[in-house]
Amino acid sequence: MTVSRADTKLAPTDKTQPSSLVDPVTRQLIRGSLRAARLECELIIERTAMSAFIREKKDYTVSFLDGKGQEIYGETMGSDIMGCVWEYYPAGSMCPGDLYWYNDPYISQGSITHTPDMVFIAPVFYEGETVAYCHSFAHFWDLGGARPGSIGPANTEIFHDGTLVPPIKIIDRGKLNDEAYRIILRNSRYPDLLEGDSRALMAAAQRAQERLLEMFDRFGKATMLAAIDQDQADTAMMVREKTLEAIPEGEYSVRDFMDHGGVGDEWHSFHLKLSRQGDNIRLDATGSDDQSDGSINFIASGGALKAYFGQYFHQFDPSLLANHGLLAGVDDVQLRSGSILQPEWPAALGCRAHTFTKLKGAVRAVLAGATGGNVMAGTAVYVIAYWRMKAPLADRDTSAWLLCTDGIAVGHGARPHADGLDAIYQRHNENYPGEFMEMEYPLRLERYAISTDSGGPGKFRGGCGIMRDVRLLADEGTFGLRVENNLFPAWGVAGGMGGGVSRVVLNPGTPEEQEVRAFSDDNHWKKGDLVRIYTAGGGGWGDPLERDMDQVLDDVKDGFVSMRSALERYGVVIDPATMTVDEDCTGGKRDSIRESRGPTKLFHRFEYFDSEEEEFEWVCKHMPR
Amino acid sequence: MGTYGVAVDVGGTFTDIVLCDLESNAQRVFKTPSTPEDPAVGFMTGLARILADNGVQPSEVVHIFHGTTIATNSVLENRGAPVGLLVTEGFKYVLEIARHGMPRLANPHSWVKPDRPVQPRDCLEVRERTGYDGGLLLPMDEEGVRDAADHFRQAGISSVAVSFLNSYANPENERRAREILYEALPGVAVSLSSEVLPVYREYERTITTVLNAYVTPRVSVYIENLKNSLDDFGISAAFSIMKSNGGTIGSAMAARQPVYTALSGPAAGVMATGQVAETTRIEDCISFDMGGTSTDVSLLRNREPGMTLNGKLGEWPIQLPMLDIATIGCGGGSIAEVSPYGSLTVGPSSAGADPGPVCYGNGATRPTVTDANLALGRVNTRIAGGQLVLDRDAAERAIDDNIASQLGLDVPSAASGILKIANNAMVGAIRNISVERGHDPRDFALVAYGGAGPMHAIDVANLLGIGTVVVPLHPGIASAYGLLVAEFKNDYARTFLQRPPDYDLDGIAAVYSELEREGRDWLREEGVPVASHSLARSADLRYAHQGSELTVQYTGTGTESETNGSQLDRDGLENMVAEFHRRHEQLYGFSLEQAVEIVTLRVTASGQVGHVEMSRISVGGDGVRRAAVERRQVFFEETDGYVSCPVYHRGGLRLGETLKGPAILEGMDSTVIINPGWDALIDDYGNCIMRAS
Repeated sequence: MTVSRADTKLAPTDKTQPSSLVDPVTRQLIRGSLRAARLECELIIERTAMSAFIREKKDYTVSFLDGKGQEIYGETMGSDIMGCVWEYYPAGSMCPGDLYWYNDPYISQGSITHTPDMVFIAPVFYEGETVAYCHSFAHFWDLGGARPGSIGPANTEIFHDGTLVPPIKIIDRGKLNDEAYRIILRNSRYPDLLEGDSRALMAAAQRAQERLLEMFDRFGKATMLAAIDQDQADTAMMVREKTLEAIPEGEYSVRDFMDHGGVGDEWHSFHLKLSRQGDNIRLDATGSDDQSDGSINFIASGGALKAYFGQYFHQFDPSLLANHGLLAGVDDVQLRSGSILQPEWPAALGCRAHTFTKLKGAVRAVLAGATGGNVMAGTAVYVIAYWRMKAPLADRDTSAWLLCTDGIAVGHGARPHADGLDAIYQRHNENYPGEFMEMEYPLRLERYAISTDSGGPGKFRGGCGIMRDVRLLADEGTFGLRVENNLFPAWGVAGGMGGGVSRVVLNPGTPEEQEVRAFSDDNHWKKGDLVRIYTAGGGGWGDPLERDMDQVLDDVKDGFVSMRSALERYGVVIDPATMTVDEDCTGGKRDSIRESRGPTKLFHRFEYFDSEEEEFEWVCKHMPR
Repeated sequence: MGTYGVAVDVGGTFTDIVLCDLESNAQRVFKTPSTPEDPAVGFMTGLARILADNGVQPSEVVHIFHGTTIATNSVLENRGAPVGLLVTEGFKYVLEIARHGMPRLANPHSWVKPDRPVQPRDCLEVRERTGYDGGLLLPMDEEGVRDAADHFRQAGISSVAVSFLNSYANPENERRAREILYEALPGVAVSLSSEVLPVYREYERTITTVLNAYVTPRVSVYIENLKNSLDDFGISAAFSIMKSNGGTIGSAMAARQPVYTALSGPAAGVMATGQVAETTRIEDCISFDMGGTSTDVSLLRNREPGMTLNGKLGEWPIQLPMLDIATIGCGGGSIAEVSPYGSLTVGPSSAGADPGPVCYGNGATRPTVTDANLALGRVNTRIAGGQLVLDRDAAERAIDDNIASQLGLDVPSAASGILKIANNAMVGAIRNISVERGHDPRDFALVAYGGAGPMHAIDVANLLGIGTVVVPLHPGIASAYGLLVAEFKNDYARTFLQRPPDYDLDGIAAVYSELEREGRDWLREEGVPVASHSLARSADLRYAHQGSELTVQYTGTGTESETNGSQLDRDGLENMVAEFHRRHEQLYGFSLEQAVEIVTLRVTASGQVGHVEMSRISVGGDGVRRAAVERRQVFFEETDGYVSCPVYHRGGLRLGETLKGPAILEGMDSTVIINPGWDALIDDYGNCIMRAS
């Protein structure tokens, strides 16, 4: 079956016709007020949420949707947030003071992509009409399920991933649905955290609703609605123009690989083809592999794929709002049911980050084909370690298991103008201070360092991943690892080379040293054991032989690049006694590498390649499934 | 022979000076251009002028209060000293990795990590380890410290930061490392994290310590030079410097821990706001300091500014107690532009002091907020007492070319649009600081100062639903006033984790008395009379597992007792925990029946040497008529067009006089705009109190 979920078309407006309905000053005031309202409501979440995942890692957003459920401003990324709510609660049945809640990835058809992501929605009524919806979102700590933290590498069914909340009305005209609330809280290992977090999200959605109402009062309903339409149309126009500008007629396809699905040893891949015929832009992912038995399935939606493209183009005029217009670049999206991008019930979805991070990167890879490599290279998939241990502390209930969900940084792709970012998790998420972990858990952080040579070589170097040593001080514990890029590193582009791979080692440098499967769960460790995680780096951009020699020297001095890699990858000869570059030898060395290596190609991972077929063939031959 | 205090606030463009007769409380003000290359030059020039103009002898000056941006600018302009960092083995990259920090709205395609003040090659590791509870897990490898010293010497490093893991719980290894560094590197400054910021979170503590090390050489030389110049000039007065916490410290202390002075200027402005609130008998207010490139806002409850531990210096977090001031990248110099897809934006790019707005005639072509004010008649073409003549035609042309014609608007609509967008940004920021602290801005008065604040204040107040706006007599030099009225104040803190139910009362008491002893010693050193010593205890509390804390006051007994300092009152502790629940509820909307942990203990030591008040203005008869300058056409948002508006010379207005909006008051340092629908009253301190009628 082929599903196509084309969203409402946004006809690009004619640029020669200035938007005449609402004057530009009022429009900017509305944009500014939306931005301020979003900031205010997100602040409420950050300040009031209980779990460290939200407070410290900052995995939350607030968005505004119009009466059609289309984004006014926010980060819903093309998801059809309202569709599944309306199936249960038609718009006409909603009342002021209502608040809706869900996390069900299957019922929502991928507007939520794994169970910990909770959505709360407050309808906005003005003059008796539902004029908008406010939406708060965050990643929750634990909803029951197979293990503390709910989602995990070894899960094989959605039921392992914790409580499913179909769309429900949690607040009915101002009155909390206490019965439903108690059931959901009862199913968590840490109900206090769940209560604190859900209260925070409810408060944020309600405040957002109040702020929108104030804006309707201040600017008037007709003006607000017209300004929203115009903003969506403006963003759509920009995205559409940039898309057509960047992509010549033709077909561009890429494939990316996930190490394995959590269970089993086979790699999985998805395939993405972008085609332009005339002014019709089409994305086709039907060539992707079948769904995985494990937890890396990702319910992609047409809207999400379109939004990934739109988000890429949004960087060219960030004064425009990120809104439904982001979807306007792509006309049509094809997905195949039963594939890893459109899994069938009840496949587990918890670790879908592996797939979607690579899918977001694939949008850039497709554009690399269209633009001759003028994009950011591949980025490694962010890492989470689930440290679980029995608390040895005298003043704690020793029978309880403690969970430390440790988000760990990776290296990001190099850009056409700059090196990739070293040691960043994913956008704004933050790590735990070592001193917080040691104070809070029977763990000791013994090393937190840059992983040398993990950044893909290039004229601009890929970002480096990190190295993190954690020792268990409790008598017993287990750990789960969401570590990707152990087999397939991030791709380099425009002559840049692939990034380094990830690796996990138990008790390194001791007689008990042992490799640990990078993406795995239920690993046992005992008191005194030390786990070392090396995270992967980003891909490089441009030919490493063209990298400025002094930059290579600086990288060696600062430990980002080894002497050996400087010589072999960058062709830079450094005198270890004086720590200076020997320019003559470097010239010669670079020539000889160039000669033996041959010309670079558009992409690099393991080898240089120009087309996905070329790489696929190489992978099938050297890394058979 | 008189006794005088002098406050000198060195800003980016101007150095503001207030001379205060400490007996009669009479005050004189003076403004002179700053000299960024060597700020001491402007300082001394201005000081000499104000003394000469008022016939005061250098020997009559007994106290100098100074607000300086030298530490801030050293960081912002990357002009600090070469720094070395010594860390625990395994943590060489603590600055590089930081908290994985990427600003929330940063664009991943273009954002580049800012360069750290010290590169990894100069971050050296030493084998040693302390546990979170202060236990020594691994003795320090002293040879390793000597090797590091060799490296630092060869690398030409003049200032070293030492930040070991968990050193907040036990500073022993850091102190020993300093001894070794002093031996091996004579003349090199050493900053210890256990002294600069002895609280947990290794990245934040380390970057703060590194910044301290980074600015120490430059700040100590600056202070030394200033003191020499003062000596040569015949002034041997006490010399104190404003800190980011709104208090002052002696210059010797400032030279040791200069990072504490980072937000000295904005902090002084907020302290002046507290004074304005006192003289106008307003309890709760919001300070609104709009300058050339940015606007600072902060909230004062019961005339007390809020404190935060989440401040920033440029790109860097510094978790020192500082006044809770939010900065918006929008000021008089903010540039208005039309994006490729037709949105009109204002800021954050700024014309700065050079070239400045188009109307300054220094070659700028892109219109700014100031140009919009000028084009609308809201500001005179002759400002600063006629010293500066502005080119209104050029401003209008720039708005027409860059904005109006692009958007199909006329010039007044485009100019008023620029102002509306700027004001809208202020409103968002003020709302956020209010909400963040659990308050509704409508319950506050707005105190406006800075060059542009009094021009925008009523528009901003209207949008927020604020009914009272106050502009002090000299809004352009509010920070210098703040320096005069601030107390001596220093904060002491130590992380000392306590989990319920068995809080270690004796342990807590011991930490408190140690912090209090440090505080008292310092107050004595500054010459603060014992009777005025105040030592306030507080602590950072959190629910178990929470990642951030709230600071609450300890009000039980056991404080301020020099002989009996080790006692701790269990009720006091319980009250503190109850206060934590209450504050959590107020700020976050809920509290929990969960265990409360005590994380960091704090003591604030403060005291005053003498008390300075604002001076009163004289009573007049028919000031309004005498003060009238002209009538001109001025554009107001309310009228959506030009109206004839009377303009007054502010200095000519007398106590008790009232005005009805629309009206404009022009002073040496600022223009006050009274919108239609607002009334103004001049009070006995010269404050202009405006109310929505």
